[in-house]
Amino acid sequence: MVLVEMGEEADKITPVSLELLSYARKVSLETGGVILAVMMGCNLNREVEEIAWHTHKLYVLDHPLLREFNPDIHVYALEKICARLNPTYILIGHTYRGAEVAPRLAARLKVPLTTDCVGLEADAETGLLKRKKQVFCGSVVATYVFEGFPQLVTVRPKTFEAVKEGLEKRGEVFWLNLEIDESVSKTKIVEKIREERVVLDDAEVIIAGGRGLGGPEGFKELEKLKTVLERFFRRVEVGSSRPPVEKGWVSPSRQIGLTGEKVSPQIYVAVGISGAVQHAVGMENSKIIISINKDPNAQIFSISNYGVVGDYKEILPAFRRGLEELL
Amino acid sequence: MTKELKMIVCIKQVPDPEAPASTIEVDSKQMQIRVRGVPPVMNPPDEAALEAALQLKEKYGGRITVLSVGENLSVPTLRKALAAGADELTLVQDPGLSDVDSLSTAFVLYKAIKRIGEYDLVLTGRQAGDWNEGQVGLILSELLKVPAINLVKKLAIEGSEITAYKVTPFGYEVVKTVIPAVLIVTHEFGELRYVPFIALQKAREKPVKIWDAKDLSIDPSNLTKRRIVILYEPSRERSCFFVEGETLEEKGKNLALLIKEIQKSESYLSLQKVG
Repeated sequence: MVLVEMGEEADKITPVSLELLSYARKVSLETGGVILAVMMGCNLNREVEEIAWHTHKLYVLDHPLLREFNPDIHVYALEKICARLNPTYILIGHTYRGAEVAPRLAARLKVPLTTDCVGLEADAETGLLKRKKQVFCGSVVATYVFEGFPQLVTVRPKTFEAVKEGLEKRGEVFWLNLEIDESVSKTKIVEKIREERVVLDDAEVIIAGGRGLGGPEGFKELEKLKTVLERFFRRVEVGSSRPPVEKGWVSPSRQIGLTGEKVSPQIYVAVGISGAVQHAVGMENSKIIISINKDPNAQIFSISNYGVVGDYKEILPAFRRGLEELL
Repeated sequence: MTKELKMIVCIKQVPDPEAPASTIEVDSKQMQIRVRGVPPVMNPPDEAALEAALQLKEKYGGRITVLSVGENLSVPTLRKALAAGADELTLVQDPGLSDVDSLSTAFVLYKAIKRIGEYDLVLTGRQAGDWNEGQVGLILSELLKVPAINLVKKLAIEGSEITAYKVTPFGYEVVKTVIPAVLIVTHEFGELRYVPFIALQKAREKPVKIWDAKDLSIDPSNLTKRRIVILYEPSRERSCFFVEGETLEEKGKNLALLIKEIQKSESYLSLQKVG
């Protein structure tokens, strides 16, 4: 039995959940196991029908206390469901929520967890999952196994292709009844503050700035460049490496790298970024990487297709003027 | 009025993430990663947790115990935490702790915290620079059976009530709970304060306790360990074509021409069809 937790974000099933369903199908074909999925939330009618086609059995827990994401309640419910179904494999998307829920679930089920896997393979003999993961900030790739079941992992988005065709038969849908008392929650969310939400995911071009920009005004330069590039490309976004976020120059939602977003635009322009491996793991899948840095020996050039050596304060305005002349 | 806080900050010792890649040696036969020639450091995300504890101590008074577990810990590396303002260092060091996973690391921390005794707050960083799991603080809260707040970027305490700002994909949430609790501090909290050399010297006078697995009644053979089956260093190298020009102005203009050329190229157009 392979169980996929259908994660939600902004009241929508996350894309990674659909990717996990396609891996679940592979495991099911290899091991003959049943595909189970769990949906938890409030007023879930919308997607139940569609998801059911990709499972043998779909369990839906619809509860008013699951309307907002409260990790205490979420973990409680998921643990109860896992205990009841006793799956061999538990697959969770490595999202904001998944990354918080999975470790606590691991503690309750008393099983080792591997987070942010970039590849999975069930061993033909033992059934144990070989977990492929970027470690040491991404400078090493390790594949490893843990004994014991259930096998619990979180998987990085885009590791697998999303499931497309449904199964021959629609899976059975079970509406679960679970008593959840508010006292399960030891924490209280008293306020939600919405700040700038940047979606870097589907940008065609990303211009990212690093420590070398020297301050928040550097990002204004990147914004100006963005405006010009938008006349050439579908969608252009401004991103950042970790230091500018730590220094408060830009919002955390722009961060690309190990602790930020993993992006793969057609063109990635790195400005004033040294190219540490922590940043590289977030942008290495970009089709074309162009770097601007005043240090000719900067590490970033060794992972770039094109490089420009010099001060961005002079290069970017000239770059912009050059683009405007080409319009 | 907030009483003086008893705080435990969990800090992992890791290979320096800023060190050049050449210091990492991957042995694909023995399935081992060795780090040569650079001293280990305090895990940078855990430094944010230490900074949070130091700020609370300044505001409300209190005592900070730094707790670290591992197979081969370096007192000089971890003493930096004492120099920054922590009061005491407790190490759990045992050869049986090599290669243990997050679940078991959290278990060892749990046993050590039980032995330390009373506490108001346990603070950890969001993930470690070696195995990048991001699990220990959350598992620890489950073992201790106390509330956890993840990804804390700002913090205040009034009486026994904790108010934390938790980073979310949309901004942040204000989350309240009561002590004792585990707080997982994120890098948005800010970097650890500067530690002057003289403070490192003075920190030698502060107490350091060293325990092993037996002191905590832990049988290392019961701990969960990862078994590595494949290990390699990925190559990210691309051959870089440098955009030239007599002046920076010319380089910038040439970059504009290059972008236009890339966009018109057949390979780019074919990417567009797939993407």
